[in-house]
Amino acid sequence: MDQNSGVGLVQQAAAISASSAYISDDLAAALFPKSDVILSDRMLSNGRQYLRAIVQDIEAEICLIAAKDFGLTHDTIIEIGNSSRGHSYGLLQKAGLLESKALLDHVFVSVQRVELGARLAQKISQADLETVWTRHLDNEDSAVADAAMALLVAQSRDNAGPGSIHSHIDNLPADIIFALTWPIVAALQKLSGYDGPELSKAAERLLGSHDEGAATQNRARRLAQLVDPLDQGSENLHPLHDGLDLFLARLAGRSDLSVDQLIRFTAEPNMIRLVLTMRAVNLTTEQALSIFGILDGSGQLLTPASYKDIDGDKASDLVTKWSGNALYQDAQRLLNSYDSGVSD
Amino acid sequence: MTVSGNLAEPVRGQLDSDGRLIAADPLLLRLHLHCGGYEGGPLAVPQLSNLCRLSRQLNMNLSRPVQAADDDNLINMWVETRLQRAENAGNIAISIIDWKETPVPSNSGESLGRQRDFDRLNGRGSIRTDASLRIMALSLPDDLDAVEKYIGQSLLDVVDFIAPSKQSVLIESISERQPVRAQNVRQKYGKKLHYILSGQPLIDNDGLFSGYRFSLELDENEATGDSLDEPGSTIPKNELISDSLFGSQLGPALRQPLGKIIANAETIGSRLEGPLRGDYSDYAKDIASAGRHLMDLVNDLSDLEAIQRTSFSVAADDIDLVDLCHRAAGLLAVKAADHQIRIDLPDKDIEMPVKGEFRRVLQILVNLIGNAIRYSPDGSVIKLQVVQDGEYSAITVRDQGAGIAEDDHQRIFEKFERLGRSGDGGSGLGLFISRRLANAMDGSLSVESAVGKGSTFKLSLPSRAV
Repeated sequence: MDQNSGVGLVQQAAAISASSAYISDDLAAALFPKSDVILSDRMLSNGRQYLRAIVQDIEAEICLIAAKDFGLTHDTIIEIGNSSRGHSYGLLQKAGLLESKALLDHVFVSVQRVELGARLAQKISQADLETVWTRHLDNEDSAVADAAMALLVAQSRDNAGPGSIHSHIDNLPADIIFALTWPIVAALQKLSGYDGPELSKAAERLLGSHDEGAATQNRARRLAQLVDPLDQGSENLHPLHDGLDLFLARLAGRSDLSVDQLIRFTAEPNMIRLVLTMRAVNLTTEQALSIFGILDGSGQLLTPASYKDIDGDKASDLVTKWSGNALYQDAQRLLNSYDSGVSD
Repeated sequence: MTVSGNLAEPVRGQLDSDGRLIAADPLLLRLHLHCGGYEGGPLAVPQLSNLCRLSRQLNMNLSRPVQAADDDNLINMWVETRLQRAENAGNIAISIIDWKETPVPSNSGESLGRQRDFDRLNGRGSIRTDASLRIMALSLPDDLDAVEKYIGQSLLDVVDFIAPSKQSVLIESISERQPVRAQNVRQKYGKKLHYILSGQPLIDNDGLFSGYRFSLELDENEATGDSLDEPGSTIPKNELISDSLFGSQLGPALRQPLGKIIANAETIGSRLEGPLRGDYSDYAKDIASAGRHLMDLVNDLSDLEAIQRTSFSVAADDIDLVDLCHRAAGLLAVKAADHQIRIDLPDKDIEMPVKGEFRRVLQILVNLIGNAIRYSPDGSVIKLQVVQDGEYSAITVRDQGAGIAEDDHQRIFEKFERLGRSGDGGSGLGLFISRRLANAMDGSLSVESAVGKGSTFKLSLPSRAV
């Protein structure tokens, strides 16, 4: 053991010592999950991979803009810009800057969306899937045809990306990319030791040029908004007819829920809230059973009797409640749990 | 004004740094004003205003769907915000690339065109006039040419009032902006058909009288009244229905109360007037359903009586079989969807011009497709095809039902023949009436079927040169 490796071990030991204080936190989170959703190893792995990928995409983009548009010649910045691995991720993680609720919700939804896409791909051939994607391209309404083409381009872009996770910056909602960009700028400054204005300017340019409309989900929402009023029959509302993104967007439009909420429902036990949503928008029993069979990954069965037994009005009331203001719902939930804590 | 979907140019607007709408295209300005805003004032459309606020807060351009309400319409928009730089820094440009207005969904869910087809099928028409009773839009049953002749003319110039109704009653109602009820009128020109005219005054957004919307119901008894057969010479003694029983007495007397029963039961069933216990709502739907069956029976019996008159005749309109089969299938789309039945239609681009009366051919097709839905298993396919058959053009309706034994092929076209079926809402008159109607139009209606192999009904009509 030479002198240098001895120094390394000492540093390692100090770091481990600092982190071991949080063992109980990690164990508590694993032992006492607060939600009913079971996070599989695959989901955790995909989530980590997705988060790393978007952090790396953003930091590389900022460094490249700073070098190309603002003439920054700092070696570390240029190296990060050209690197194929993330640099600021570890720093951000340790500082707890990746733990915001909005960001983690987004990561969860993105990973679950990929999971749903994989389940759908098991039920439909690639050729049929392509037919589904091109269904609206020849629509006589040019707005529909344009929106369909835009969605097709976005879906092709997603599929052309490396790996199975759609990590392209274009797919990030404005508030998520905004919330990630500024911590990444601070991390880059710390990593490079350079605190000139170019990195901030590059971040502003990145945010200014971000086009939310290019996101696959947004393009699907736009197409759904155009197509759904023309196709109000419930018989066509099906992932095998529309593809996953358009189906979710149409169901979201009809139920006044968000696509993210619907995706979260599909991860919950027995997809109960998705079933209630389908009941609330009056999907037929056969259709609901078929959709359930395609999106479910737990091998559960929805029976015609249990679907028919759901009171449509009650389902509708619940869905209306879920579609309300998210802050209000969160506050209600917290106050209720506080109440029950007191009474205990 | 209704704008549908595709905009050649986006609707644009601009907000200054204080959120005031300093420039806007007419559509956006109209919406802003309807939402309580004023020119140059803060953007009053809450959903748009929120989006702009978020855009400013994030200092980012956004691109999101927005829904707003304007009068009776829902407006679905796709909105892009663009933060302005340089000399306009602080301003936000709004660009609305999709703008789709749709009427607030009604419980019936029927499109206007579909409703018109229902009206035609039931012998109903409508006229929309401006404040000076000039006809702005109309649809008259049994007179397809009326549109060209009557648009722009005064209502009083195109109809005569038949006693006991008087033109003065109409004028009086109109001067007082009152509804017009059940006036007997006759076309002055053309086919001189008799109608029963009712109307409601229209009030625009500013509360001003803007015209009338009239509905017209074909008065079939009066329509053929000029040429009614000599008493006693028409109906053989052994016929069930006497000459005047339905046309002049029972039909109208039953339709009106039945219509009210159905309408009220549907209102109760769909809980339009407020919440109701689930089982009561179901009872009301049962009442509406039974009422509709009775109404169908009354209509069938009226038709039966009409077609048995020796004077019965049909118009020879220029119609297209493909167009009509699409309309008929549209009328039955909900019924088919209830049974997960797909109706496979010929391509809309195909033309199959024939001579026949629009309403009657539609009636036959609705009967044939309706029967196919009624007697087909759930989830099956009903296929409609058009074929050229010498001087005739034909449409076939093929189902995947249980089929009909060869011995019964003629019997099903007989009056009240149900082949032992009951309780499915049929009267046993539909095919009898349809065949008589087809014959009256110099056409024919036949069936090919075998037990277990489905049935194919074929309606042939004389072809028409285009």
